[in-house]
Amino acid sequence: MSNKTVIPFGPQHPVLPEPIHLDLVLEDEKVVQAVPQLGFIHRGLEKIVEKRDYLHFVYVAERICGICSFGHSLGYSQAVEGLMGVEVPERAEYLRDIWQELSRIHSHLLWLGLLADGFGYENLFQQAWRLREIVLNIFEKTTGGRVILSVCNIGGVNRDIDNDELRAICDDLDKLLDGYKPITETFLDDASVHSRLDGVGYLSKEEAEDLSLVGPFGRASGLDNDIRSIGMGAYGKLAAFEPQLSNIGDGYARTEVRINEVVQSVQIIKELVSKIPDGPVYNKPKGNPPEGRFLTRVEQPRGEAVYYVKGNGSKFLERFRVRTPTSQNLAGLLKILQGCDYADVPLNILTIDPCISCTER
Amino acid sequence: MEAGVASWVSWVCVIAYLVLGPFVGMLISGIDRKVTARMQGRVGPPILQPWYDVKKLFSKDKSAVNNVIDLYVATALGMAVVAGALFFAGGNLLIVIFLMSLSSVFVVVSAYSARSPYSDAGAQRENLTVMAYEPIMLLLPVAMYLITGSFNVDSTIVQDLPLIVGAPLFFLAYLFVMPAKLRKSPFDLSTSHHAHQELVKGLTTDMSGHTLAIMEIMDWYEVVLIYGIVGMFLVTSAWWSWILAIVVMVVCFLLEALVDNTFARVKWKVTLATSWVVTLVFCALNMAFLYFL
Amino acid sequence: MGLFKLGGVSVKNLFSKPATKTYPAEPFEPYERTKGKIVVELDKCIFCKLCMRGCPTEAIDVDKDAKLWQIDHFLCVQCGDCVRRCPKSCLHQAGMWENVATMRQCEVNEFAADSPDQLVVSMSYGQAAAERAQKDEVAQKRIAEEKARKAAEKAAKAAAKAAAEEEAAKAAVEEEAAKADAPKAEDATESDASAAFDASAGAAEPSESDAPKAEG
Repeated sequence: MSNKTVIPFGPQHPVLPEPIHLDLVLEDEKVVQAVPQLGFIHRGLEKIVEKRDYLHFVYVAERICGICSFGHSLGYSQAVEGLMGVEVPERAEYLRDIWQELSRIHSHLLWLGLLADGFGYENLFQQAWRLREIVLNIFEKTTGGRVILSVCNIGGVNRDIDNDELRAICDDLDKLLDGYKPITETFLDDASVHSRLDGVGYLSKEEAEDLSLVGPFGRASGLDNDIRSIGMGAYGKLAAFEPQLSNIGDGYARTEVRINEVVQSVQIIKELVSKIPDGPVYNKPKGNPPEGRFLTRVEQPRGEAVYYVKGNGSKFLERFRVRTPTSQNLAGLLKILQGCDYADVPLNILTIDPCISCTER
Repeated sequence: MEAGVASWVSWVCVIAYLVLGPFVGMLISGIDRKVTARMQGRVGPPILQPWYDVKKLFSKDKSAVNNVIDLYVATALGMAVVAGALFFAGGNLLIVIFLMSLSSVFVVVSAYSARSPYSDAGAQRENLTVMAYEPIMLLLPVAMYLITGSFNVDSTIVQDLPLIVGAPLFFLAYLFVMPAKLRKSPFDLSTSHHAHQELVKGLTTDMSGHTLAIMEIMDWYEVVLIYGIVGMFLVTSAWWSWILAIVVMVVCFLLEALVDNTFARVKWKVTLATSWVVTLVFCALNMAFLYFL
Repeated sequence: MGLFKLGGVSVKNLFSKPATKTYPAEPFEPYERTKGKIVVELDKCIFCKLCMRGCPTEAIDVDKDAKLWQIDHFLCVQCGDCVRRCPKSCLHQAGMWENVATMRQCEVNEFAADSPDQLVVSMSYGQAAAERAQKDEVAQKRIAEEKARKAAEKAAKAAAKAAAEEEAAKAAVEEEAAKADAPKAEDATESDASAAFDASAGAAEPSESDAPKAEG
């Protein structure tokens, strides 16, 4: 007769970046079932859209999450611009995509640090976050904020980066890639890291398709789900874009996909900087959002995020809805938690890159 | 009783260990945190930080989970202190090793008594870790007997050659399991120095206030004992062997800090497997060497 | 698979300066655009209230009469909207944040009592309201006085204008009288008439000059 114990995991836990509660039903160090509870960080941000001017709401939208903050302001701006028919200047599109790629680099470096911390390797965690400081300093130099940028607005961006600064950014990113090598070697080759990541949370391609997984979580199982392939904004001006895929499907593959995405993002930024045109960066929107609906998608660091707005002619939007990537990947999380070792629970939770504050808004 | 040191010297060593041991252990602990921080590129806490921590812990309100946890932890501390005192007095190494194991058993029992899921899991893992390092610890007195003919620690001091010459592979196997005893990566499954793991803080999750302070002090005593065993491999009747022992202890200390910073925490199966394989292979080879030479 | 992959980095770090700074013992240098609390240059401000309308959290309050510019730093989210909207560019983001406080408070920027110096004072909302009421009263009084003074000036001007008109009319009448006098001076028989005419003109004058006075 096996004895089942129920261990409460979260909401406060050192390995979790954001609060989620899981009741883990254990049978002798193997997890049989995981029962999630959400709602610890629900702030009702979607309801606020009825009370804030559509121009002011962009500052609320970017505070949905700290890690993917720029992506949310970008998605909201894109959605309202589509609804109102506002044309965004070309230079603004390039700048937005440069900031979005920088956001992706900083998010993946943060995730790598958290993963290392999750399997007890503090030194690797510190080195990964030290590289992230380079990106945060770039954010601060160009926009004034390290995490909440307040730079994307409906009709363009609030600030310009002149071409000298853009070249300096490319030099900084080269320094980042230099410091990145020992970290990637450790993640991909070290024996003790392998012993923690190999075979952990395996999902085959069919299972991933069934659950419709998004982001690097799905790409590690071979799903081609990168929204940047569609070519919205400045992504359409890139010479070629291939999403990073892997066929292995376990924790090691997810790490590899995210590590490669950082390198790819640096290359994308360099290409955008070399192609950026001159021109204005802001096109002030006139009037109020008309009656109608609009839906747009953005490739956040964690996956595809869908933004839907509905206007009714007044200066308050009637509805704003975000379908965040983590809320889509939670089903995958519950699937990989079944049957895993207790020691692997934090790693499994971390490999989906949970951003619970996006999920609960 | 074989010829060893005079009894008054033993008493002096015992008193020195009891009184100065925790201070030396605290300094080693503090320097270890500083070296680890510097290896990670941080500034690190001041060297006296463990003392400040214990002072703060003693000043906290009493909020133990139950009445017996203090008793178990205090017993564990007592056993560890007696083990160390016996070791530095030159006593029987087997008794020292058994007392150390008994001390860990009491720590495990105190963790079970807290009846929380994290400390239960931490106690189970501590059991497994003890199983991982016990074989080599029990084989050390055997090695000593084969070389010096006695189980007493003070028999090494009258030798001409240090123990390490006859038992080098035992020494290496002992170094291999030292991270498990010192609660460092890669073998810090049950509890580590930071609360950054899946079991929050494992064994000591539900200990706070003066209970945790007693655990810290026990750590200090144990650190001195663990490095003392390292030194035991190197002392001889020559006066300069003591200096050599201290140098080797410092080198091992730095090596431990480096290993802590270059390995992730491994799971219990890997811990058991690697520790037993290393122990069996190295010790078997060494014993064969000792028997046939 | 290898081991000690971070060994090189660890040993190198051991012998280099740490990468972290002991803030706040060491001060931190903000970049040029670093966000921070909003500061106002009150002498450039025209109290147009554009910043107040643009603030998404309604942290700014502007009083044109009392010449107060008030902000609650803890409501402010440092979005920079007000900085961009100000027509006189008198708002800036200082690269550092407001210190912690133990109660809700706002920061009032106003002119000192008798000088053009700008005072920046943090006070509770109640105090700020009281201060504003007081300054408002003073301001209203001043405005009323200004109005009265202006009205008086206007009246004086009007009076002066009327007096000037009257003078002009008087001069015109006198000229006519003088013209009427001149041809009759040769006729002696008409001297009586002229004298009589003079007397009647003289009599008519006071009555004429009386009339405007009565009107005025």
